[in-house]
Amino acid sequence: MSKEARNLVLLALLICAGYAFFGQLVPQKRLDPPTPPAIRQGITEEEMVEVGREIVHGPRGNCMVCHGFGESLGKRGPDLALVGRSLWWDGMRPVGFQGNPRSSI
Amino acid sequence: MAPSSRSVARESLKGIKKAVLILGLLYLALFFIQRFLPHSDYREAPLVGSRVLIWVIAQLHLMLAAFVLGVPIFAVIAEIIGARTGQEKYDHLAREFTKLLFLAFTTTAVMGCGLLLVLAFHYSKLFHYMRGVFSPVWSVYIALIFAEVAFLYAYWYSWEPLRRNKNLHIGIGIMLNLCGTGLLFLADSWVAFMTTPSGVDPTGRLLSLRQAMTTFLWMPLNIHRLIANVSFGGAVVAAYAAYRFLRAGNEEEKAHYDWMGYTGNFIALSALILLPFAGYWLGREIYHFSSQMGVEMMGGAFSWLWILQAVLIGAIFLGANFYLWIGMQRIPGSERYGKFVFYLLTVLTVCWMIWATPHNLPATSEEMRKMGGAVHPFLGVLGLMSAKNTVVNLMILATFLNFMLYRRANKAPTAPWAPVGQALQAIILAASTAVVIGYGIYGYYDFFGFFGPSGGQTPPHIRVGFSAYQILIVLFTVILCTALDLAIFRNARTLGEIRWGKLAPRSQYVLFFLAVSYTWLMGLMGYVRSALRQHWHIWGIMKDTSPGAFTPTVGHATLVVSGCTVCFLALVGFIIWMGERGEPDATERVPPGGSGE
Repeated sequence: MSKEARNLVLLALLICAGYAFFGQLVPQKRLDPPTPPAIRQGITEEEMVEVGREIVHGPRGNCMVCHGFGESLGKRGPDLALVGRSLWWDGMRPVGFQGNPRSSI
Repeated sequence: MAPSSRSVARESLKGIKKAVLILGLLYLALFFIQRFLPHSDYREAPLVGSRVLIWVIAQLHLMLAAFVLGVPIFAVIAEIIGARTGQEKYDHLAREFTKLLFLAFTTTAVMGCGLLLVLAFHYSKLFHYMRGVFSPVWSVYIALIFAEVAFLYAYWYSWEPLRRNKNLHIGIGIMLNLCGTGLLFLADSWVAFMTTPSGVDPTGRLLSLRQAMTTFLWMPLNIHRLIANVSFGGAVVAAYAAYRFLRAGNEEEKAHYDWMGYTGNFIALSALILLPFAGYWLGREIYHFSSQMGVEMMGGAFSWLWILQAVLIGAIFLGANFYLWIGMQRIPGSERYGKFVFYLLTVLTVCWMIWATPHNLPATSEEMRKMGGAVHPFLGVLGLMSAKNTVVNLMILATFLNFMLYRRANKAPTAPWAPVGQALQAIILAASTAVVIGYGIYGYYDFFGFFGPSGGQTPPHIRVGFSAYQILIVLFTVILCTALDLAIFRNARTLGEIRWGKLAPRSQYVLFFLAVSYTWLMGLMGYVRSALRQHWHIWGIMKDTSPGAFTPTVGHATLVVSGCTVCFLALVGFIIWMGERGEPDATERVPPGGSGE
């Protein structure tokens, strides 16, 4: 291998190593598939609240990035404390949505 | 049939035979897997696991495909320029680009077959489903492969025979590009369907093939990839030229490869500047399909990858500008513009730092207590999209200004209205900078009360829309200033010829740095696009229930992307080495074309 080719190989390895090293410096979070919510026939209201809390605030929950709850957190989406009063199911679907209905909520 | 036509047909037939052989072997292997192996939804690969295995092979196939689709686009453009201006060097350049394609095309095909095999063997459930949904498209895809092979061989082997009939030769090149673009669009429909499915019912039963192919992501992905392929191809060609420059045996060869590297980098950078527009559209369509997916992409698990992207693109911008500054050394008269380098470098560096500033800093609980929360009172503001969109546009403007200075370095305008034109350019640039910054600041505060109480916060859904105006004003500025520049410097007095080849070797290492960074960036963004599906093979339709269904950490992803980049560069190195075999010794080589402008 010529000297120039060797220099270029070393440079490429150095750049890739540098970028990969930078990738190790940021917060690391592995996302596992979610466990299905434990909703069954005859579930109590308290248990239902717990299931909701897990969905919203659990490791996969990003609801509060956009939504607020009362005075707290995000302002992009509607206030979740009031959304039940102001919107029916159809109103939650974005206008023009044509994809899979399950991903709209 | 004339002897030359016969030889072109014979060589094209050879190419088709090679494609038949590769596809035939693939068919046999697929037949064996389906017929003789016991059925299993997933088969785990040893050592690295099937997830990493298919990731690496798919990424390598994509990188090679990007190269073989991007390079013919500007090979034909270079040939057209050569034919129209009568400058032989462009024809040589186009020919040299095309020469690189041959082995790369075979390697891409082999890698594509490998991808299908790994999919069929390790992810047979997904393979069977996708094959079922898109079965009518496969025959079109295979027909396009054969057509592309035939046109590629015809394009290469008819170069000399059609030297006197350039229009026909360029026509063959255009057909080659149309086939390549068709292949790209078809393959994009599959990956777009996996992320934003449509045309199927919730159980996955196909309702409309047309809808399944034209999903939300399809067209933005087509456009984004088309532009990115040109940019990527340009960067790889520039790196090849850099390698040849460093190994050049004589001054003429050095001059040629210096010019080739400059041209490749110019193409790469020009296409890169257009990419944010396509990227914006792509992101917007993801939000339209599913705001949940959009939020996950920008504010959730993948948000740190955008910081990495900022670091990479910032490095690419700085590298490209640095290359232009070094390049000015070979241009008589460029000393006049040396004083601007400091200011441009300052703008680029500050913008880069702002772009790479995260909204939420990784901090200890003690640090968070001192900051008064997870968001830093000042840096947190810079972490928002309003600031980031602003600095990206400023970096584009600074790079464009730098390129204008480079372009006029050895020219003195002779038009009597030139001072007025140059003043107009300065006013346009200053005004667009002010508008871009103005929109950035207005994204935080509604000073005039257009969207609510005066002095209050601008609503987020309004703020997001500002980025489109910022991009449009920058595009408008680039077009207008370029048009003015062409008019101002028409019939300009030359202060001296560009001394091609008289360049410090470090400039060539910068070109190589850019190519590696482009490749790495492509790997990273490819990962983001694919990983958005998270634990779904097909979002909302088919769950991934394999052991590798998790979304890995950023650190893990960057290691795999680095591995892919190294493998790709090794393959390209091998292709170049194969192409170099049989060439005369460096000191005896005759330069393939001129270089001086």
